[in-house]
Amino acid sequence: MLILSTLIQLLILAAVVVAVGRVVRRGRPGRSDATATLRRFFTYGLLASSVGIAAAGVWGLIVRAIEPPLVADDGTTALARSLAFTIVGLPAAFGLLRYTLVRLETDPDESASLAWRFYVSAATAVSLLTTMIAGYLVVGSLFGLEDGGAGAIATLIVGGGVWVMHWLTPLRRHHPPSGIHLMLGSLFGLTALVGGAGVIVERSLDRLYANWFGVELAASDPGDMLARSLIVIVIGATVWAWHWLRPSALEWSQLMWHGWVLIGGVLPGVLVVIGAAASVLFGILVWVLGDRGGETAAAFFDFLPGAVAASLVGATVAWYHHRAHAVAVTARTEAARAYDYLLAAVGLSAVLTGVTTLLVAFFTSISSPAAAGGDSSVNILLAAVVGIAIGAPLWVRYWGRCERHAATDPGAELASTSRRAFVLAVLGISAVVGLISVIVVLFLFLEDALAATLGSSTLYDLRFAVPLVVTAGAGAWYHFSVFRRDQPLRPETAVVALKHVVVVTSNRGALVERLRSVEGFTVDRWEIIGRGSTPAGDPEAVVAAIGDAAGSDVLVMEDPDGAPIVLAYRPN
Amino acid sequence: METTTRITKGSPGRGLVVGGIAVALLIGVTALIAVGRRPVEYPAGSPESTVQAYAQAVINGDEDAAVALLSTDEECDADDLADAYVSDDVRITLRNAEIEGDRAEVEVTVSITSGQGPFDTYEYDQNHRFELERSDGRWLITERPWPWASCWR
Repeated sequence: MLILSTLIQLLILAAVVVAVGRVVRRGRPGRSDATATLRRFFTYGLLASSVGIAAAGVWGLIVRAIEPPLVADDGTTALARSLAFTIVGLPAAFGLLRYTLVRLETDPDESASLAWRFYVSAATAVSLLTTMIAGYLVVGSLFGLEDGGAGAIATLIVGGGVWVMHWLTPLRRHHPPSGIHLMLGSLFGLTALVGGAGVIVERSLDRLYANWFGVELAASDPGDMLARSLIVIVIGATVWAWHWLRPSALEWSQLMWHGWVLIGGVLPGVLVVIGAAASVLFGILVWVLGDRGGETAAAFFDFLPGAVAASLVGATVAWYHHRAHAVAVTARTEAARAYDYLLAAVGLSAVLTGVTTLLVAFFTSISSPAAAGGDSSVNILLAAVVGIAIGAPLWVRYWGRCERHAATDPGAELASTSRRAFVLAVLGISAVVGLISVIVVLFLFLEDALAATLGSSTLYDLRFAVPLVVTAGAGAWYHFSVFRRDQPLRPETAVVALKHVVVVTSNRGALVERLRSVEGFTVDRWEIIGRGSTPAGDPEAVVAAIGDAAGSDVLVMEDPDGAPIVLAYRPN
Repeated sequence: METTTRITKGSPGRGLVVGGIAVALLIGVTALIAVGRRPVEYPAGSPESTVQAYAQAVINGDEDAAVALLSTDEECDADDLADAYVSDDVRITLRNAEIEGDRAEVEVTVSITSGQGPFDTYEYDQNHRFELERSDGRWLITERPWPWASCWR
């Protein structure tokens, strides 16, 4: 029964994969059919399972081989399982890997397939993360900081082995050209690097603060925490350097590179700095105007080291990535748009939350002054003020920038996915919140009206719903007006010429990059080995020639002087 | 969507096969070591040998032999030990052993495997510390050791 149920689930999943694959590939030139999609689904599913089973088996054997001296042994289950997994999983994994490699080397569609790209991205990411964690435990154990033991060593060997298998074998030639594997590695490495550095800076500042103001009565030795952080920094820096510093930007797609730099680098750094600034501002306002909780200044402001450390680390990360982006890009990319709209969304959320909180306090004060009193209420009001003080400039700056681009270049800005997603998301969320709040307001009003108990208690009951109607309604109304204004100005979706371009070249420069940037072009690059680099020719002339070529499949070659030759062909 | 394809000579999977054979050999050696591992025989009269004899007696269900290795101050008896839960699949490895005069500490990891079949196996480790004292030239266990959580009587 279990097997039947699993089989049915697998078939449903396969049907979904085939359907998704057909939708994704619809309209693309090149070979595509449900059979190939289904084959890839099972092949890569089986490959992932085989690698996982082999890894589990080998892990168990390594643990058993290197574990401490055996005192007593009455267990055979784990050993039997490890042997069974290894004996079956290892040949299956290698057989499937060899089959996959042959397919990748001989069939360009294979390396372009969604299934392969998903598999290789997931395999490299999971094995990398596993290796990083195990590496930390092993190194930590060497210094007596962690209790890694044989399990951590085995995980390091197996996880590292799986990562090496996907990175340092010929499989690396077929890594996704989008660079998603580089992005994931950069993300893991940077997170560890920044996290470790943040802990060291925070602990150091915390210790300085405690010494200066004498707020510390006793403390444990911070040496262990610093040593742990140093290990994390070294591992994170190594991984980050491998995935971010080592490869050239050509190994990333432009969209992924810009997306990572802005959304993965600048945005989190900016948000951390904003959050830290907000906490400092709130603390100062509460100290001056709010409820201090009877604490001394030194104890009250003991959050400052953490806020300063977060600001330093966040600002460094944001500055580094912003600089990289500024050097490489001058035009407004889709990633730059997404960055602006995300920050505008953060600012808008802070403003609307702050205004709602102020309105709740107002309704509370006019309906039940006794309930509105109290020191903690003052602190809530101050939090609302901070939200508005931080959020309003943010929203004005970034939404204003988007509106300026919409005015100067409406074709690109209004048609962008980021703007549509932002406007529709804000409109949708605020409309839903507003409608629910209206229902609640009406219900509470009618309930008291029908019971003939309308009065200040009714107003008190409405203290949350009415402000939500006001703020959500304002948000919905404004963005609905933006949506309606954008509609007629938005250009119709251009008819994109879909071309499958195979470039056989000894040149890795401008031509291929230019072809990649043309919407509708799917570019396979075949590199000629053993021939010196030749001039790229005029990329614009090649783009025009491809556009004029009959049919959707185009071959771009070089004559002996390196001049491009554009040929339309029909695949058999 | 773009791909990069390098035109190469020879079989594309040859390197992988050679590497695979090398890895398989390494794993084969590892498997032989893993299968061939047996409990270490500790010198008679050492704290480790007392713990080893006690653990083996517990695993074998020989409560009387196990209790005979406890200090006479210990309140637990063979009936208590018979009531304690001991998994059918247990492995015990030595973490550390220290002797100070007539007292000693032996730290072990008890690895317990449960479940049925290769895909329903659950394994977890417990660290335990045995405290021993030398009495009449013999090392005896003083504190209530694994697998007891408590004595019921």
